[in-house]
This record gives sequence, structure tokens and C-alpha cells, in this order.
Amino acid sequence: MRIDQRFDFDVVIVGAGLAGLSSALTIAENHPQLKVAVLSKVHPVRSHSGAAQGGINAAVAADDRWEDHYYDTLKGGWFLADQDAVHLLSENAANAIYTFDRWGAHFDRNPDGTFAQRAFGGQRHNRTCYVADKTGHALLNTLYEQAVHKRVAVFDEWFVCSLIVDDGELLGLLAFSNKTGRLGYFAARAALLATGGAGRVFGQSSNALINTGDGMALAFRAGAALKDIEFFQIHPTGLLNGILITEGARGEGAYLVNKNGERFMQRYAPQFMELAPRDLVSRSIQREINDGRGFEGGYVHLDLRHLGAEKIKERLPQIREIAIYFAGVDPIEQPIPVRPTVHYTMGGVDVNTDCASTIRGLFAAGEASCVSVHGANRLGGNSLLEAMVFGIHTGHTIPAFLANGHQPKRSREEELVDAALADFAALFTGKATETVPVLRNEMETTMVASFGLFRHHDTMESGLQKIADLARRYRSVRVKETNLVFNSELIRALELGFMLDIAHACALASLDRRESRGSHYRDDFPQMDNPNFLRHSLVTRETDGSLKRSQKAVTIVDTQPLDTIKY
Amino acid sequence: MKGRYDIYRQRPGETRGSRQTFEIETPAGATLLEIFHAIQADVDPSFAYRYSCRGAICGSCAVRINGVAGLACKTQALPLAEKGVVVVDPLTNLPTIKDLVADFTAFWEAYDKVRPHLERQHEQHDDRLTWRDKLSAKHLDQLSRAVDCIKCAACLSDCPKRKLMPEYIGPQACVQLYKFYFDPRDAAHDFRVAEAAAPGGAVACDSYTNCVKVCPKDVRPLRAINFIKQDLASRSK
Repeated sequence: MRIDQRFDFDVVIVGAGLAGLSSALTIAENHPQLKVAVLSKVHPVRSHSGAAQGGINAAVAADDRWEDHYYDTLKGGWFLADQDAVHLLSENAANAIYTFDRWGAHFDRNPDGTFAQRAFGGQRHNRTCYVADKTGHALLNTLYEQAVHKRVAVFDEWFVCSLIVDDGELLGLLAFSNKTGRLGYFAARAALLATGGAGRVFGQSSNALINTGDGMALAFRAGAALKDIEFFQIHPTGLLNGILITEGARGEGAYLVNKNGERFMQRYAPQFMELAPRDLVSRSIQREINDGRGFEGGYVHLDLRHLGAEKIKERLPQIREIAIYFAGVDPIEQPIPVRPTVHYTMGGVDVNTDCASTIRGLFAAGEASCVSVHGANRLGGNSLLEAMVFGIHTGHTIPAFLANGHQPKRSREEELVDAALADFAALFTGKATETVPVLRNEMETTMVASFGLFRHHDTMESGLQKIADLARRYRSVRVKETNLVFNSELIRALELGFMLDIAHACALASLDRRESRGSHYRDDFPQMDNPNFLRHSLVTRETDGSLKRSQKAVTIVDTQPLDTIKY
Repeated sequence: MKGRYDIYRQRPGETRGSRQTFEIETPAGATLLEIFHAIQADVDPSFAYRYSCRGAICGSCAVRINGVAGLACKTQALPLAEKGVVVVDPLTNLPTIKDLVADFTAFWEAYDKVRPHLERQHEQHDDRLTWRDKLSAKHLDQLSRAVDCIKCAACLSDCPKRKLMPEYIGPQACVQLYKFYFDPRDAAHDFRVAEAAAPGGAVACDSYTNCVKVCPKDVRPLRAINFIKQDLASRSK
């Protein structure tokens, strides 16, 4: 195999969702002299940002303050977030809304023309701006319109398979085009990873099928650290294929029922029942399933039938549609099978407040990164916001980094590209003794069983061994089809390799955190433990392939962390 | 039950392919996209199709199902399989790259052609925006539908006029044009009018209504086109 084409850019952005495109557009508007390319393994409008429904938190109302948003975010994250980063997020939130408004987004408005805002969990103000229930979709499409307008160079359906890094400095990226099958080397002075989350390492996930943590794994393999990668947010009610049934169903009075017909929330939260906090409802459902009171196949029922056809049609039309199209169940006649579903990756590539990683020239933003604004648990309405704020932010920090004329030393470039190419070619050489679907299935099951809602040293230890074993077996995977044009076999194999790296890091970091905080709940350490664990976890890969664990202090600026979290 | 699926296969670089039959276990609740996954995982790893969100919001997985364009992720497989063989082909009015993967180049060219972005009269955001008051209820409704469009190309695929007249920009591009045509914030209105009235513009539509029937998001492209046509007609009076 050989490189078909070499490209030279100042900046290469990987990922064309809200973070990646915002960055590209900001650079195009303010630094038109910089040559920027955006690579995405799908067309930009297929990015997972588009699936976000609810909205974006920003203190744009006259009687709200960004300082309150700041505090709500810190508390919601169990004080694990870095306060300087959350400051950036909350203070720049209004500007992000205004920027998207200027780009043409159709935000819902109040009768007086001000931004309409709805209430979201964990916040003391109605702070969430929205475009009906399709906020992410509307913003992603608006952003793409502007990107086309400003002639951002988009390489859609290009898959990045490795980063070329020499002596801690980024030189470029190796990628291939699904459409043409051409292999390209993209030399760059800086790169931004904006590839989203890694929810697909779990068998039950609300994430798009493409959310395989590619950017996280690329950075990890190149020597950057994964930070707080033990934290995955889990939503209580997903269909069996992971698609979300929003909290609105329970808000309208839906029951959660086990196979004995009991409203089991009675046992766990007799006062709040189905409307108890998300993490508690998730754990209650899982407890029922684990204790044998779920239905065969591992789920409980979300029952809307008592609400009556009229109310369901009038108040919950979307939920009814989702159930009919994606589960084949009409909730007017039958209960909906549901179980908790992995929803969001709080951890990611360790970056500073410029979104710069420890590799010179390599940046990360959005869900792929961990600048640390979500801590141990993300508030609803803060994920699109993070992508927008830090996408725009990197549109300034990356040009600033390049302003001194930074040029990486390319003396070993050819040799390193050849080595990466040889690694890539090895996937096609020799006999396969393992197959991707089998390994992927085992990884997904292991992650749910060992690193799901209830974590315990013993199950995690056996989970870790299993993941390490899968990583070993993965070396025996080969791809038969050598034509690179829409080579689904190859894509699935590369994605599995990425996911196994992240699963491995998650397993190690989870075992090390001997406390319960946010999404990380341990039966054997049920309490939050600030004296020992108010710190970030870092996992890095050494040059010999071994994984190293270390810690990093949480940045405290002005707010003393609480020792218990209560709402 | 085992469903029977006759699915179009085509090697990259070739221009013709043929259907291949797969017998796939089809449980209640399975979507057609999940049947594709099963084929790829258990039968033929090289089987190619597009996917992303599997929740009908990304627009990746439109194919023709028994001859009609629709999203594979939004289609329940069992009710179809119970009726007989399920025939799946790539979208038409676009070339095929491999198996069920269509080449969207022409689709995005039509999209780009209508300059689908807000041309601002000023470079500030709108602190207070009351222009919606100026739009009638039917336009507000249609605007919301236009925003819903997921660019899956089902409408373009099944548009008979596009087949007859390849220079017609097609229903999706017309929706995109509509999105800005009536937007009081937009400073490029004259361009929008000219684009709509151009030979391959919205005026080329012959109201076949297929676009309304196949749209998985109920965008109703023909309705948007008719609003534009009405406006053009009122101008020429």
C-alpha cells in the first residue's frame, strides 16, 4: 500500500459536528489566511450533534447570571470539573447563542422576541435555549450552511486511521476516502480532534453507531492521556436498541413496571416514584433486572396505557412515534420495553483550557475532549454548549498557537508515515483467526456487565481481564476485502480497535477510583470521598504498549467543593 | 420468522449490479437497518450501506424499500417480511458507488446551487427577534418543516421530474430555497427569486406529489414549492 496523495494544511480538523465545524468556521471568519481542512468519516450533517433534542444552557435572560450557571454545572458534576474551564463555558455561553443566531439558527423566541428558555434538571433558572425538540439538528444544519458559504474545505467520508507524531509533536494524519478509496497523508501544523463520544463501547447505548471514540483513541495511541474516562452517563429509559424515550413520558405519568406487574419505584423512592433523579431511577431499573424481576432479555416496562389514547396522542406524540417505528410497539395498546442506556462520555482527551493536549500541535474539543466541564456527571443542556463554546474557542486558540510561525520538525516524517502505513497494511495480511462481530459483542457485553450502573472491585477486575484478553485477540483480526471503497469490514475493524483501547482505559480508571461520584457508582465504596478522590484520573499508553495510570489535581479557583451532593 | 430479503449488490468501479437473496431471522421490533447489520455481521462483512444515528435524524440510511424511498432505520422489518420478499435497492436519480451506497455529489451540488445560508443585512445577532409575527401561521408551520429536513435524498430519488429533467434542482433544494425565501432577515431575496424562477428552479416542479409521500420527516416539499410559485405569480401580476 502507498499514499495516493499528500495534502498540506495549517490546520486539520477531524470531526464535523458542532465542535469541529464551529472551530473551522471561526477560523475561516477571522483567519482566512490559514489553510484549514475538515475531515469526517460521515457527511457533516450526519454527525451525532444532530441527535441532541433538548437545548443549550446559557444565562441570556435579564434575571439570570452566568455565575449561577457556573455553580450549577460544578455541583451537577460533583465538583470534579475544573473551575477555570467551567468559567469559560458559562461566561461564553450567551455569546455562543448569539453567534449561532447570527449564523441564522431558528431559536424559539418569546412573544417579546427574547430567547425562549425551558427548565432542565439541576439548574435554578429556566436557562435552556432551544429549537423545538430538534435543537442539535437545527444548529448542525445551520452551521453546515455557513461552512459551505465560507468555503470551508470539507473532506467528507474520509476516515482517519492514525496520527503521525514525532517526539511529542504532531506532523500530520493518515486517512482514506470511502468514496474513492484513495489513501491520503495530511501534513498539518496543528490538528483538532472533534470526533465526539465513545458510548458505543457499551452494548446498550443511545449514541449513534458512529460514536466509537475514534479521536480519543487516536490521541491515546499517539501518547496523549485519557482523562476521567471512567465516567459514562447512563439514561434510565432507552429502547432495547438504545434509542431514548425522554423523561417527558414519566413527566406525564408513565409507570415503570417489572415482570410481576409491580411499580417497583415504590421500593427505591416511594416519594418521587418514577420521577426520582435520573441516576437513582437507572440504578433501580437495573436492580430489578439483576434480581430477576425484569422481563426475559433484560428489560422492564414503561407503561403509558392508563393515560389513555387521547392524552398519549395529544401530549406524547413523539414518544408514541418512536415506540411504533423503532420498537414496533404502540404505547396506547402495549407497554414499551425499556432499560438504562449509556448516553454520554464525560471523559476524553486531556486538554488544557486552550484545548491543547500534551502533544504539541494536537488539540481536542467537544465530547472527544476532557477540558473538564462536566466532571463526574453532565447537566442536560451542557453538551451542545460545550461543543459550541470550545469549538469557537479553538477557532481562536489554534491560530494563536500558530501565530509564532510554528513548524514541526519533519526530518523523520517519511519514515513515520511508512511505519503507520505498514501497520495499516498488516490488517490485510495473513490469516484471520478472530472476527470483528464476535469480539465487538463480547466487549459490549463485558462493559455493560462490569462497568455499568453498579461497579464493584471483583466484577471490574474480571471485566478488565476480559477486555485485556479481547485486545490480545483483536491482533488476530484481518480484513479480507482490500478495496478501500466503502469497505465496511475495514471500518468496523478499525473502530473496534479504537473502542477496545478506550474500554481498557475505562476499566483501569474505574478500578482505581475507590469511591462513588456522579455516574461512577460502586457497591463496595458507596460514598463520595473528597480527601482521596477529588482528582482527575489519567491513563496513558507507554511506548512498550503498557498502560500507565496517574492523577491530576482538580483546578479550584473560587468555589469550595461540597462533601455530599443533595438536591 | 426468517424473512427473505433481495438486496442490490454492486462492486465499486462497476456500473451495474444485481440482487442477492438473504434469509435473515426477523424478530418483532427489528428495523430494516438492524437486518442490514445482521447481514454484515453474520453473512457478508463486505456488505455496504450508510448508517449513523439509527433514530431517523441523520438522514444516512435512505434506500428504496419495495420500490419506494425511505429510511431503513425507521422501517419495521417483520410486517414487510410477513407479506413476502422484501426488495431493497439504492436510491435512484443518483449513481451507485457500492451496494446500497448512493453517490450524493449531484444532491449536494443542487443544494449548494441555491446558496442555502442566511445572508445577513447586518453582522449582529438579533437580541429581540419579532419577525416571526410577520409570517402567517402556514408559513411558520412550513418553515418548521423545512428545518426538519434531514437531507436523506428520498425525495430526490423518487422525483419523476428530476428523472425527466436532470437540471431540475429537485425537491430538497427547493425546500432549502424556501427556508430563506420568506425569511425577513435575509438580504439575498432577489437572488432567491431569480433562482426559483430559473429554468431548473422551483418553477420546474410538475407537482407529482411523490416528495410529500416519501419524506420520512413530513417536510412536504411540494407545499414549500407551491408557496414559492404563488409568490412568483403574485410578482408577475
